[in-house]
Amino acid sequence: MAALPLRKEIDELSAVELAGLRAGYAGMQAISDNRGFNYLSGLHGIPGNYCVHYDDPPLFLPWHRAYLHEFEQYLQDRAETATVPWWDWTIDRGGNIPQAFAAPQSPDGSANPLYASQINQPTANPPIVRQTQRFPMTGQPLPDPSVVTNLVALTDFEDFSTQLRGGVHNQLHGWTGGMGMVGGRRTYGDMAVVPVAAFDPIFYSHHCMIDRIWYLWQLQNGVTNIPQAILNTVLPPFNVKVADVLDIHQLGYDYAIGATTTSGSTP
Amino acid sequence: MMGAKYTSGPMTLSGSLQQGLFKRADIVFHDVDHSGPTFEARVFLNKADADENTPMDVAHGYAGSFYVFGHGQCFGDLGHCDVNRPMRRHDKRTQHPLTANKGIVVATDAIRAEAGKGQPISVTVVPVIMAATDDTDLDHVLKFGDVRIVAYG
Repeated sequence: MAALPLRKEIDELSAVELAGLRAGYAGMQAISDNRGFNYLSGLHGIPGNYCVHYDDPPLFLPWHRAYLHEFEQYLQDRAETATVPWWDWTIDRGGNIPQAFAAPQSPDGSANPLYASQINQPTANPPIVRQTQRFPMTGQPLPDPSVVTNLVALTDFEDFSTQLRGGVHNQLHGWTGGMGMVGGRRTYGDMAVVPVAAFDPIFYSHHCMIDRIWYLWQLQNGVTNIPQAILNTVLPPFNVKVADVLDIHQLGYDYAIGATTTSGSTP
Repeated sequence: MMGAKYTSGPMTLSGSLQQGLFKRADIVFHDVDHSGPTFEARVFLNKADADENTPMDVAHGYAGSFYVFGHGQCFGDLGHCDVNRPMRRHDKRTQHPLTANKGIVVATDAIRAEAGKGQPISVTVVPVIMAATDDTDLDHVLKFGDVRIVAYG
Protein backbone atom coordinates (compact mmCIF):
# COMPACT_ATOMS: atom_id res chain seq x y z
CA MET A 1 0.00 0.00 0.00
CA ALA A 2 1.38 3.39 -0.95
CA ALA A 3 2.34 5.83 1.78
CA LEU A 4 -0.49 8.04 2.96
CA PRO A 5 -0.49 11.69 1.99
CA LEU A 6 1.01 13.73 4.82
CA ARG A 7 -0.33 16.88 6.30
CA LYS A 8 2.57 19.08 7.38
CA GLU A 9 3.09 22.30 9.28
CA ILE A 10 2.82 25.25 6.89
CA ASP A 11 6.45 26.29 7.31
CA GLU A 12 7.61 22.73 6.67
CA LEU A 13 6.33 22.79 3.10
CA SER A 14 8.97 22.91 0.39
CA ALA A 15 8.77 25.68 -2.18
CA VAL A 16 7.28 23.21 -4.64
CA GLU A 17 4.71 21.99 -2.11
CA LEU A 18 3.72 25.54 -1.19
CA ALA A 19 3.37 26.46 -4.85
CA GLY A 20 1.15 23.40 -5.31
CA LEU A 21 -0.98 24.40 -2.34
CA ARG A 22 -1.39 27.90 -3.75
CA ALA A 23 -2.31 26.47 -7.14
CA GLY A 24 -4.96 24.30 -5.49
CA TYR A 25 -6.52 27.14 -3.52
CA ALA A 26 -6.39 29.45 -6.54
CA GLY A 27 -8.06 26.78 -8.64
CA MET A 28 -10.82 26.30 -6.09
CA GLN A 29 -11.34 30.05 -5.80
CA ALA A 30 -11.75 30.30 -9.57
CA ILE A 31 -14.69 27.87 -9.53
CA SER A 32 -18.12 29.26 -8.71
CA ASP A 33 -20.05 26.01 -8.57
CA ASN A 34 -20.27 23.39 -5.82
CA ARG A 35 -16.64 22.34 -6.27
CA GLY A 36 -15.39 25.81 -5.52
CA PHE A 37 -13.96 27.58 -2.50
CA ASN A 38 -16.91 29.94 -2.05
CA TYR A 39 -19.41 27.08 -2.00
CA LEU A 40 -17.40 24.89 0.37
CA SER A 41 -16.71 27.81 2.71
CA GLY A 42 -20.42 28.48 2.79
CA LEU A 43 -21.12 25.06 4.26
CA HIS A 44 -19.59 26.10 7.60
CA GLY A 45 -21.44 29.39 8.02
CA ILE A 46 -23.62 31.32 5.64
CA PRO A 47 -25.56 30.12 3.80
CA GLY A 48 -25.28 26.43 4.82
CA ASN A 49 -24.87 26.90 8.59
CA TYR A 50 -23.96 23.25 9.09
CA CYS A 51 -21.12 23.76 11.56
CA VAL A 52 -21.33 22.38 15.07
CA HIS A 53 -20.01 24.44 17.99
CA TYR A 54 -22.10 23.05 20.80
CA ASP A 55 -20.95 20.44 23.29
CA ASP A 56 -24.01 18.24 23.69
CA PRO A 57 -23.79 15.98 21.79
CA PRO A 58 -20.01 16.40 21.34
CA LEU A 59 -19.88 16.60 17.55
CA PHE A 60 -17.53 19.57 17.26
CA LEU A 61 -14.41 17.53 16.47
CA PRO A 62 -16.00 14.85 14.24
CA TRP A 63 -17.92 17.44 12.20
CA HIS A 64 -14.86 19.61 11.56
CA ARG A 65 -12.74 16.54 10.67
CA ALA A 66 -15.36 15.56 8.10
CA TYR A 67 -15.45 19.13 6.78
CA LEU A 68 -11.68 19.39 6.42
CA HIS A 69 -11.54 16.00 4.71
CA GLU A 70 -14.23 17.01 2.22
CA PHE A 71 -12.46 20.32 1.56
CA GLU A 72 -9.19 18.47 0.99
CA GLN A 73 -10.77 16.20 -1.61
CA TYR A 74 -11.80 19.22 -3.67
CA LEU A 75 -8.36 20.76 -3.11
CA GLN A 76 -6.76 17.60 -4.50
CA ASP A 77 -9.08 17.75 -7.51
CA ARG A 78 -7.24 20.96 -8.38
CA ALA A 79 -3.75 20.00 -7.13
CA GLU A 80 -3.43 16.26 -6.73
CA THR A 81 -0.55 16.12 -4.26
CA ALA A 82 -1.63 19.03 -2.08
CA THR A 83 -2.78 18.48 1.49
CA VAL A 84 -4.10 21.01 3.97
CA PRO A 85 -1.16 22.12 6.12
CA TRP A 86 -1.56 22.85 9.80
CA TRP A 87 -0.75 26.20 11.37
CA ASP A 88 1.01 25.49 14.65
CA TRP A 89 0.30 28.70 16.51
CA THR A 90 2.47 27.53 19.41
CA ILE A 91 5.57 28.13 17.26
CA ASP A 92 7.10 31.50 18.10
CA ARG A 93 6.80 33.69 15.01
CA GLY A 94 7.00 36.94 16.90
CA GLY A 95 3.25 37.04 17.37
CA ASN A 96 2.58 36.98 13.65
CA ILE A 97 0.66 34.83 11.20
CA PRO A 98 2.90 32.58 9.04
CA GLN A 99 4.19 34.43 6.01
CA ALA A 100 2.51 32.01 3.61
CA PHE A 101 -0.88 33.35 4.77
CA ALA A 102 0.16 36.91 5.63
CA ALA A 103 1.64 38.03 2.32
CA PRO A 104 -0.90 39.62 -0.07
CA GLN A 105 1.13 38.43 -3.04
CA SER A 106 2.63 35.09 -3.99
CA PRO A 107 6.33 35.03 -4.92
CA ASP A 108 5.42 35.33 -8.61
CA GLY A 109 3.57 38.57 -7.94
CA SER A 110 0.06 37.18 -8.34
CA ALA A 111 -2.57 37.50 -5.61
CA ASN A 112 -1.87 35.03 -2.81
CA PRO A 113 -4.88 32.71 -2.56
CA LEU A 114 -3.88 31.86 1.03
CA TYR A 115 -4.20 35.50 2.05
CA ALA A 116 -7.82 36.15 1.11
CA SER A 117 -10.78 34.94 -0.89
CA GLN A 118 -13.79 36.58 -2.45
CA ILE A 119 -17.01 36.10 -0.46
CA ASN A 120 -19.94 35.89 -2.83
CA GLN A 121 -23.07 35.42 -0.73
CA PRO A 122 -25.72 37.69 -2.23
CA THR A 123 -28.59 35.86 -0.50
CA ALA A 124 -27.30 36.60 3.00
CA ASN A 125 -29.17 39.29 4.87
CA PRO A 126 -27.40 41.67 4.55
CA PRO A 127 -25.69 40.41 1.38
CA ILE A 128 -21.93 39.87 1.57
CA VAL A 129 -19.98 40.32 -1.63
CA ARG A 130 -16.43 41.41 -0.86
CA GLN A 131 -12.94 40.15 -0.20
CA THR A 132 -12.21 38.59 3.19
CA GLN A 133 -10.57 40.76 5.81
CA ARG A 134 -8.28 40.07 8.76
CA PHE A 135 -7.06 42.22 11.65
CA PRO A 136 -4.87 39.81 13.63
CA MET A 137 -4.16 40.75 17.22
CA THR A 138 -0.45 40.96 16.50
CA GLY A 139 1.52 41.41 19.70
CA GLN A 140 -1.10 39.70 21.83
CA PRO A 141 0.23 36.40 23.17
CA LEU A 142 -0.50 33.16 21.37
CA PRO A 143 -0.74 29.80 23.17
CA ASP A 144 2.52 28.15 24.14
CA PRO A 145 3.18 24.41 23.63
CA SER A 146 2.15 23.59 27.20
CA VAL A 147 -1.45 24.29 26.21
CA VAL A 148 -1.37 21.39 23.75
CA THR A 149 0.44 19.16 26.25
CA ASN A 150 -2.22 19.84 28.88
CA LEU A 151 -5.06 19.17 26.44
CA VAL A 152 -3.59 15.90 25.27
CA ALA A 153 -3.19 14.83 28.92
CA LEU A 154 -6.95 14.97 29.50
CA THR A 155 -8.54 11.54 29.53
CA ASP A 156 -12.26 12.16 28.98
CA PHE A 157 -13.33 12.92 25.39
CA GLU A 158 -16.08 15.37 26.27
CA ASP A 159 -13.83 17.24 28.69
CA PHE A 160 -11.11 17.34 26.03
CA SER A 161 -13.48 18.48 23.29
CA THR A 162 -15.08 21.23 25.35
CA GLN A 163 -11.76 22.58 26.59
CA LEU A 164 -10.23 22.46 23.12
CA ARG A 165 -13.21 24.20 21.53
CA GLY A 166 -13.73 26.82 24.22
CA GLY A 167 -10.01 27.39 24.68
CA VAL A 168 -7.46 27.62 21.91
CA HIS A 169 -9.96 26.96 19.11
CA ASN A 170 -12.09 29.95 19.98
CA GLN A 171 -9.11 32.03 21.06
CA LEU A 172 -7.37 31.66 17.71
CA HIS A 173 -10.51 32.48 15.77
CA GLY A 174 -10.73 35.74 17.71
CA TRP A 175 -6.99 36.43 17.56
CA THR A 176 -6.74 35.84 13.81
CA GLY A 177 -9.82 37.77 12.81
CA GLY A 178 -9.64 40.56 15.35
CA MET A 179 -11.34 43.84 14.59
CA GLY A 180 -10.42 46.99 12.70
CA MET A 181 -11.80 50.10 11.03
CA VAL A 182 -13.26 49.95 7.51
CA GLY A 183 -14.86 53.06 6.03
CA GLY A 184 -14.80 54.77 9.41
CA ARG A 185 -16.70 51.99 11.16
CA ARG A 186 -15.47 49.26 13.48
CA THR A 187 -15.83 45.81 12.01
CA TYR A 188 -14.64 42.29 12.73
CA GLY A 189 -12.18 40.18 10.84
CA ASP A 190 -13.90 37.25 9.17
CA MET A 191 -12.11 34.50 11.09
CA ALA A 192 -13.54 35.97 14.29
CA VAL A 193 -17.21 35.28 13.58
CA VAL A 194 -18.78 31.94 12.77
CA PRO A 195 -20.89 32.84 9.71
CA VAL A 196 -17.92 33.95 7.55
CA ALA A 197 -14.87 32.40 9.26
CA ALA A 198 -14.39 29.66 6.68
CA PHE A 199 -14.07 32.12 3.81
CA ASP A 200 -10.65 33.11 5.18
CA PRO A 201 -8.18 30.62 3.67
CA ILE A 202 -6.29 30.36 6.97
CA PHE A 203 -9.39 28.78 8.52
CA TYR A 204 -8.51 25.35 7.13
CA SER A 205 -5.00 25.41 8.56
CA HIS A 206 -6.26 26.51 11.96
CA HIS A 207 -8.70 23.61 11.92
CA CYS A 208 -5.99 21.29 10.68
CA MET A 209 -4.11 22.14 13.89
CA ILE A 210 -7.26 21.44 15.92
CA ASP A 211 -7.71 18.13 14.10
CA ARG A 212 -4.06 17.26 14.73
CA ILE A 213 -4.47 17.92 18.45
CA TRP A 214 -7.40 15.48 18.42
CA TYR A 215 -5.17 12.98 16.62
CA LEU A 216 -2.45 13.46 19.24
CA TRP A 217 -5.09 12.92 21.93
CA GLN A 218 -6.27 9.77 20.16
CA LEU A 219 -2.72 8.42 20.19
CA GLN A 220 -2.81 8.63 23.97
CA ASN A 221 -6.41 7.68 24.59
CA GLY A 222 -7.47 5.47 21.72
CA VAL A 223 -9.03 6.09 18.33
CA THR A 224 -12.46 4.85 19.40
CA ASN A 225 -12.48 6.76 22.69
CA ILE A 226 -15.69 8.72 22.09
CA PRO A 227 -19.23 8.33 23.44
CA GLN A 228 -20.68 5.26 21.73
CA ALA A 229 -24.08 6.94 21.49
CA ILE A 230 -22.85 9.28 18.75
CA LEU A 231 -21.05 6.74 16.57
CA ASN A 232 -23.94 6.48 14.13
CA THR A 233 -24.73 10.17 14.10
CA VAL A 234 -24.53 11.53 10.58
CA LEU A 235 -22.52 14.67 9.93
CA PRO A 236 -24.47 16.65 7.36
CA PRO A 237 -23.96 17.60 4.63
CA PHE A 238 -21.15 15.07 4.35
CA ASN A 239 -21.51 11.43 3.40
CA VAL A 240 -20.10 10.14 6.70
CA LYS A 241 -21.07 9.26 10.25
CA VAL A 242 -19.00 9.91 13.36
CA ALA A 243 -17.63 6.36 13.26
CA ASP A 244 -16.28 7.01 9.77
CA VAL A 245 -14.03 9.87 10.83
CA LEU A 246 -12.38 8.48 13.94
CA ASP A 247 -9.34 6.95 12.22
CA ILE A 248 -7.44 9.45 10.10
CA HIS A 249 -5.60 6.65 8.33
CA GLN A 250 -8.94 5.29 7.12
CA LEU A 251 -9.61 8.78 5.80
CA GLY A 252 -6.36 8.62 3.88
CA TYR A 253 -4.02 11.05 5.55
CA ASP A 254 -1.44 11.27 8.30
CA TYR A 255 0.32 13.98 10.26
CA ALA A 256 4.09 14.34 10.29
CA ILE A 257 6.56 17.01 11.26
CA GLY A 258 8.85 15.81 8.52
CA ALA A 259 9.33 13.04 5.98
CA THR A 260 11.52 12.05 3.09
CA THR A 261 10.26 9.63 0.46
CA THR A 262 12.00 8.07 -2.51
CA SER A 263 10.60 5.83 -5.20
CA GLY A 264 10.79 2.07 -4.85
CA SER A 265 12.15 -0.57 -7.21
CA THR A 266 8.89 -1.87 -8.64
CA PRO A 267 9.47 -2.22 -12.41
CA MET B 1 -12.73 47.12 25.10
CA MET B 2 -14.85 45.21 27.59
CA GLY B 3 -18.49 44.33 27.88
CA ALA B 4 -20.63 44.52 30.98
CA LYS B 5 -19.22 42.15 33.55
CA TYR B 6 -20.97 39.64 35.79
CA THR B 7 -20.48 38.99 39.48
CA SER B 8 -22.20 36.10 41.21
CA GLY B 9 -23.52 36.07 44.72
CA PRO B 10 -21.41 34.39 47.40
CA MET B 11 -21.08 30.65 46.77
CA THR B 12 -20.55 28.58 49.90
CA LEU B 13 -18.08 25.76 49.39
CA SER B 14 -18.83 22.22 50.48
CA GLY B 15 -16.57 20.49 53.00
CA SER B 16 -14.19 18.77 50.59
CA LEU B 17 -13.80 21.95 48.56
CA GLN B 18 -13.22 24.03 51.66
CA GLN B 19 -10.57 21.61 52.87
CA GLY B 20 -8.84 21.53 49.53
CA LEU B 21 -9.41 17.79 49.15
CA PHE B 22 -9.41 17.74 45.36
CA LYS B 23 -7.03 17.16 42.49
CA ARG B 24 -8.78 19.43 40.07
CA ALA B 25 -11.39 22.13 40.44
CA ASP B 26 -13.30 23.78 37.60
CA ILE B 27 -15.56 26.76 37.18
CA VAL B 28 -18.18 25.65 34.67
CA PHE B 29 -20.53 27.97 32.81
CA HIS B 30 -23.61 26.35 31.32
CA ASP B 31 -25.79 27.53 28.44
CA VAL B 32 -23.31 30.07 27.14
CA ASP B 33 -24.78 32.19 24.36
CA HIS B 34 -22.62 32.68 21.26
CA SER B 35 -24.87 34.77 19.05
CA GLY B 36 -22.96 38.00 19.66
CA PRO B 37 -19.34 39.17 19.46
CA THR B 38 -16.23 37.07 20.00
CA PHE B 39 -14.58 37.63 23.35
CA GLU B 40 -12.35 36.32 26.09
CA ALA B 41 -14.21 35.69 29.34
CA ARG B 42 -11.71 36.36 32.12
CA VAL B 43 -12.80 34.78 35.36
CA PHE B 44 -11.83 36.16 38.77
CA LEU B 45 -12.60 34.93 42.28
CA ASN B 46 -13.59 37.36 45.02
CA LYS B 47 -12.55 40.28 42.85
CA ALA B 48 -15.72 42.17 42.04
CA ASP B 49 -13.76 45.25 40.94
CA ALA B 50 -11.82 43.31 38.27
CA ASP B 51 -11.69 44.82 34.81
CA GLU B 52 -9.76 44.28 31.58
CA ASN B 53 -6.63 45.81 33.15
CA THR B 54 -6.56 43.60 36.24
CA PRO B 55 -3.42 41.42 36.24
CA MET B 56 -4.11 37.86 35.26
CA ASP B 57 -2.53 36.06 38.21
CA VAL B 58 -3.77 34.19 41.27
CA ALA B 59 -2.69 37.03 43.54
CA HIS B 60 -5.35 39.20 41.87
CA GLY B 61 -7.98 36.46 41.95
CA TYR B 62 -7.56 35.46 38.31
CA ALA B 63 -8.75 31.90 37.82
CA GLY B 64 -8.48 31.50 34.04
CA SER B 65 -10.32 32.28 30.82
CA PHE B 66 -12.61 30.70 28.33
CA TYR B 67 -13.39 32.11 24.91
CA VAL B 68 -16.63 32.64 23.06
CA PHE B 69 -16.50 32.34 19.25
CA GLY B 70 -19.47 34.44 18.35
CA HIS B 71 -21.74 34.66 15.35
CA GLY B 72 -21.38 38.44 15.40
CA GLN B 73 -24.79 39.17 13.98
CA CYS B 74 -27.65 37.49 12.19
CA PHE B 75 -27.27 37.04 8.45
CA GLY B 76 -30.75 35.65 7.88
CA ASP B 77 -34.32 36.77 7.81
CA LEU B 78 -36.70 37.21 10.72
CA GLY B 79 -36.49 34.20 13.04
CA HIS B 80 -33.27 32.82 11.56
CA CYS B 81 -31.43 32.98 14.88
CA ASP B 82 -34.27 31.77 17.08
CA VAL B 83 -32.69 28.78 18.77
CA ASN B 84 -35.92 27.40 20.16
CA ARG B 85 -37.64 26.67 16.87
CA PRO B 86 -40.55 24.24 16.96
CA MET B 87 -39.54 20.57 16.97
CA ARG B 88 -42.21 18.15 15.82
CA ARG B 89 -42.34 14.42 16.47
CA HIS B 90 -40.82 13.42 13.14
CA ASP B 91 -38.44 16.36 12.88
CA LYS B 92 -34.99 14.96 12.03
CA ARG B 93 -33.23 18.26 11.59
CA THR B 94 -29.97 18.81 13.43
CA GLN B 95 -29.75 21.14 16.38
CA HIS B 96 -29.74 24.86 15.74
CA PRO B 97 -26.21 26.20 15.16
CA LEU B 98 -26.74 28.64 18.01
CA THR B 99 -27.46 25.90 20.54
CA ALA B 100 -25.79 27.15 23.72
CA ASN B 101 -22.52 25.59 24.77
CA LYS B 102 -20.32 25.30 27.83
CA GLY B 103 -17.36 27.19 29.19
CA ILE B 104 -14.84 25.39 31.39
CA VAL B 105 -12.10 27.10 33.37
CA VAL B 106 -9.77 24.68 35.12
CA ALA B 107 -9.02 26.75 38.21
CA THR B 108 -7.49 24.33 40.69
CA ASP B 109 -4.87 26.68 42.14
CA ALA B 110 -7.14 29.71 42.31
CA ILE B 111 -9.96 27.80 43.99
CA ARG B 112 -7.56 26.17 46.43
CA ALA B 113 -6.17 29.60 47.32
CA GLU B 114 -9.63 31.07 47.96
CA ALA B 115 -10.93 27.96 49.71
CA GLY B 116 -8.12 28.19 52.21
CA LYS B 117 -9.47 31.52 53.41
CA GLY B 118 -12.65 29.87 54.67
CA GLN B 119 -14.93 32.40 53.02
CA PRO B 120 -17.62 31.98 50.35
CA ILE B 121 -16.48 32.57 46.79
CA SER B 122 -17.96 35.00 44.31
CA VAL B 123 -17.22 34.67 40.62
CA THR B 124 -16.64 37.73 38.44
CA VAL B 125 -16.47 37.43 34.67
CA VAL B 126 -14.93 40.22 32.58
CA PRO B 127 -15.73 39.91 28.87
CA VAL B 128 -12.79 41.35 26.90
CA ILE B 129 -13.90 41.94 23.33
CA MET B 130 -11.81 40.42 20.55
CA ALA B 131 -14.10 41.17 17.61
CA ALA B 132 -17.17 43.38 17.44
CA THR B 133 -18.73 46.17 15.41
CA ASP B 134 -19.95 49.64 16.28
CA ASP B 135 -23.42 48.11 16.59
CA THR B 136 -22.44 45.59 19.28
CA ASP B 137 -24.44 46.01 22.47
CA LEU B 138 -21.68 45.94 25.06
CA ASP B 139 -24.19 45.71 27.89
CA HIS B 140 -25.35 42.28 26.74
CA VAL B 141 -22.22 40.50 25.54
CA LEU B 142 -22.01 37.88 28.27
CA LYS B 143 -25.04 35.62 28.60
CA PHE B 144 -25.12 32.23 30.29
CA GLY B 145 -27.50 30.08 32.31
CA ASP B 146 -25.59 29.28 35.47
CA VAL B 147 -22.13 28.88 36.91
CA ARG B 148 -20.94 26.01 39.07
CA ILE B 149 -17.74 25.27 40.98
CA VAL B 150 -17.03 21.59 40.74
CA ALA B 151 -14.13 19.61 42.19
CA TYR B 152 -12.70 16.22 41.31
CA GLY B 153 -10.80 13.91 43.65
